Formats: sequence, C-alpha cells, structure tokens
Amino acid sequence: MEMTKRINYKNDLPNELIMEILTRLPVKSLMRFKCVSKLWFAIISNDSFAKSHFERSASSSHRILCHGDGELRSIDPDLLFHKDPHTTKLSIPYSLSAYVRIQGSCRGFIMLQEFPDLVIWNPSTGVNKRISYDHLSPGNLESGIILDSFMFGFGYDARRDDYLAIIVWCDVNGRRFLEYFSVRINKWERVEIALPRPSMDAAASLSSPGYYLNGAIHWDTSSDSILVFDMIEREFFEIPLPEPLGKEFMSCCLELLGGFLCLSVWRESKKTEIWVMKEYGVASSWTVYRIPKSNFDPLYFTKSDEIIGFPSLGGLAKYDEKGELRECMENWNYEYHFWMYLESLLSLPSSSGIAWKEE
Amino acid sequence: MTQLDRLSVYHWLNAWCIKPVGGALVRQEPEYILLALMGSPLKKIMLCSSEKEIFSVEEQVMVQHSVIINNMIEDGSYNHEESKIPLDCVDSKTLKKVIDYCTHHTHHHNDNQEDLEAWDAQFLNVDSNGLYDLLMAANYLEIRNLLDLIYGTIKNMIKGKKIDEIRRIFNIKDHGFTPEEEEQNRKEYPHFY
Repeated sequence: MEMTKRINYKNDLPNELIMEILTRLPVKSLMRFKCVSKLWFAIISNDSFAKSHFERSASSSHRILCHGDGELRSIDPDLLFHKDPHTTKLSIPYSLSAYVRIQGSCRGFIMLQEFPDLVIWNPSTGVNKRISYDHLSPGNLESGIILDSFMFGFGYDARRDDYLAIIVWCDVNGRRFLEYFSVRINKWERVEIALPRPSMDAAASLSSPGYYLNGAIHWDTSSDSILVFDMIEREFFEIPLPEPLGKEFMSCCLELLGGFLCLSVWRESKKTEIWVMKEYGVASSWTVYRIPKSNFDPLYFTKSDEIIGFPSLGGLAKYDEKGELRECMENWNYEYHFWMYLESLLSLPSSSGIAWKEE
Repeated sequence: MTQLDRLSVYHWLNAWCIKPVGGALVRQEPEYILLALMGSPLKKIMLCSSEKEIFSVEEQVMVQHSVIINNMIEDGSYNHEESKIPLDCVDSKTLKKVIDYCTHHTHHHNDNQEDLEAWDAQFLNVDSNGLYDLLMAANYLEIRNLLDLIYGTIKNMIKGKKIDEIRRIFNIKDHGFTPEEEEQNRKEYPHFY
C-alpha cells in the first residue's frame, strides 16, 4: 500500500494553518486526533475552535440517534440505504435505563429524561451534565402537579450563550408554569405563564417533544397552531398551521426534518402529506410533499429535497418532491425511536469556571 | 494617450476576434474588449522570487486571486514603470506554480466544473516539499481558492488515518505528551494507533 506523502520535511506548520486543516475535519476524526500531540489536543479542546468548527460544519453533520432494544446507536443519514450503515453504539450516560426518553436536541447536545433526572449529553464527545427535577415530583409540592401535563424542551439562548432545560407544567387549579434550568446559573427558576391560545391548554400533552430550531423550541399542540418558545425573549408565541391544510385530517403531527419544521398529515385518502416550512416563519413557504402511502412516518429530509421515512407496512423508503419512490429497503426495525442531532465538539458553558467532564 | 505597442495591437485584435472553441464560436471576455477599446495593453506586473528571479504576469490575473497583491496595487504602493514585488518567502519553483494556478483559473473560469477539478487534481500532484511550499505561498499571498483546494486535499489525506501515520505526515517528532500520558492513550484507544 502506498504510504501517504509527508506534507513537510522542513519546519512545522504554523498553528493557524494547522487550525485551518483541523476545522475542516469531521468530529469523529477530531476526537481521535486529540491523541496526535499536545498541541493538537489543545486546539481541538478549545472552546472557540469548537464554536467556529460547529458554525462551519453544522449543516453537514446530521446524525440520527436510534433508540431501541435497550441500546442507543448513532447513524449517518447518508448511509441509511447502505447494506452496512456503520452504526456506532453509544453508551447511555449515568446508566439511565433503556426506558429513557429523548426530549430535545440542540447544537450537538441531546436531552435525555428519566424521572427525576434530565441529562444533557453530547454523544460525539461524551460530555454530559445531570440535572435533577426531583422538586417537581408530586410529593414535593403543596398544590398538586399534574404529571401528565409536563412538556419538556431544550434549547440555546444565543444572546446569553446559555442552554436552558425547560419543563412546562400545569397544577390542579389549571395554573400553568414554566420551569427552566439555565446551565450558566445552575439552578431552577419558575414563572407562571399563560399559553398564547386557551385551546392549547387542553391540547398540550406529554407526548409532544420540543423541537429546537432557529433559537426557539416548538411543540405540537393538536390545536390550530404550533406553540413556540423564543429562547432569547423567553416568551411564548405561535406559528399558525398553513391555511390550505384545512381541518379535514385524521392526524397532524409536528416533526423537525433536516432543519425544517414539518407537519405529517394523515387523511382519509391513502396518501400522507408532508408539509415542509421551507422558509422559517414565512407562511407562504409551506410546501406539500405527497407520499403515495398511508400512515407514512417521515424520518429525514435530505439535501436533495427527498424525504426518507417508514411506510406503515415496514421497511424504509425515499421519495422525491414529486412523490416518486427513489429507493427502498426492507429489514428496517420500525420499533425503534429515532431522533436527529448534530455532531459537535461543543461543551456546556460552566457556571463557575469548572469544566464539565465526561462521566 | 497611451502608445499602441505591438502588445496592445495583439490584445486589441484578440479582443475583437471571435474564436472557435470546442465547435462553438466564443466571443472573448468583455473585460478584454473594454481594455482594448480603452487602448491600454493588458498590464503586466513583476514578481520577484526569493532567488531573485523575476516573473512577469498579467496584473489582472494576480489581482483577481491574491488579496495581498490586490491591496498593493489598489493602495498605489506598486509603481508599474519601475517596481517589482519582492516575495522573499516564495522560491522560484513555487512562484511559477502559483502563477500557473492563477493564470489558468482566470483564463478558464468559464470551463465546466469537472474540467477545472481535473486540472486542479493534476496541479496538486507534487512532491511533499511542494505541497508545503504551495500552502505557505498561498497563505502568504492570501489566495483563497488555492488555499481551500490545498486544505481540502490535506483533509482527505488525513481523514481516516491512524495517529502514528498522522505524526509521520506532519513530521511531528515530539508529540508533547508525557510517557505516562502516551501510554494511557495507547491503552485506552489502541485502535487509534
């Protein structure tokens, strides 16, 4: 096998040029190259490097977290149809059980939830932080909490360079509260709130995870609009469902596919409609993809505007914007739960100068 | 009023010529036509390598690619009649390659993507010293597309490689870890090495 030629025999490459090379590498290579030298270790572990690397590569570093059979695996979405998709097995941090739920992801971090813990975790680097919401267990509060009312969310506040874990909950008197944990301040705060629309109170439910996009967290509320929490203003807004969608559907679920807000709509007809908000916040940009299969569950939106997902009869299929089948594969375990995340080297801001280390 | 010398006449005629290229008739670049109409010859500038060898190259070519040279021409510190630009950290062999790259990309920027990429791949088929020298020259002259090309090539060279191989490629003789740290790393991640 031909040996790769050396890049230099003379002097060492200047640090800035090494950084330019490293900034173009994927996270997986960089985690390995920390062992090359003390200098490379220092560059790769540096916060500013992680930030500029993330900004540069964010759109190309999508991964799918696959949760099932007591295991967590990471899959490269470009390899979904390959015979050997090179999945990577991940160890669940803090020995959370196989019943752990995924409640959000943002900038390479995933929030796992299993009462009474929330764990913010970067699967690419292993860095994680555990937050307890034990104080919200029914035994600990005077007025009864309705456990079923919990809505979780996780997002990034760009103005304060901070991450927030959020729980929206309701008490027996119908009062609604926003409980949030700032990683920088390192404690829980509570604020009483009202949702933008009364019909949302009845609809908001445990089963809707919060999707982080463009500085806001989005929940499905089974009402006429999407509930939005702006991370910087710390306020609730709503994005109305597209008017052409109408009201005649069996179900309409909010999804986040490939960086776009999507609605997965099942109607009486044997088709599934995937409504994609091509431009965030622009009502006229909702575009419909009609998949000629009923109960199609979308998974991923590719860079070539194709939708990959699960037809109800099993397997995995890819459709283009005209609804034509491009590729399909049998033998896909539909029992798993899937979540999109990004690969990043980012670490959590510390609240007191202590770096959060790997468990 | 500038004097028309043979060079200008050539360029003027060239500018008005409609040449056959690949079976189609292609009109010359509008900039050339404009320059020819203005009566000025395509200006050349002089670059001087570290070995004191002088290279004459079209001003437009270098100005389009090198931020450093563009700035020198724009702020007037370069006098066309007299001066040459000294490039003390670029040797003749490398400077010739750099000029080659810039000239090709200026004259062929309308070519299709595949042809350009094939040319680039062939261009970078140099020995190891050459890649380093090209990188340093492109960095010094701030030639963005050449830099991106070289970085992309290096990235592909090292992406899946093992640690020992990376150290060899970058000539890293002293990795800086203590013997204990190095041993710990090798024990924890044997498949990296």
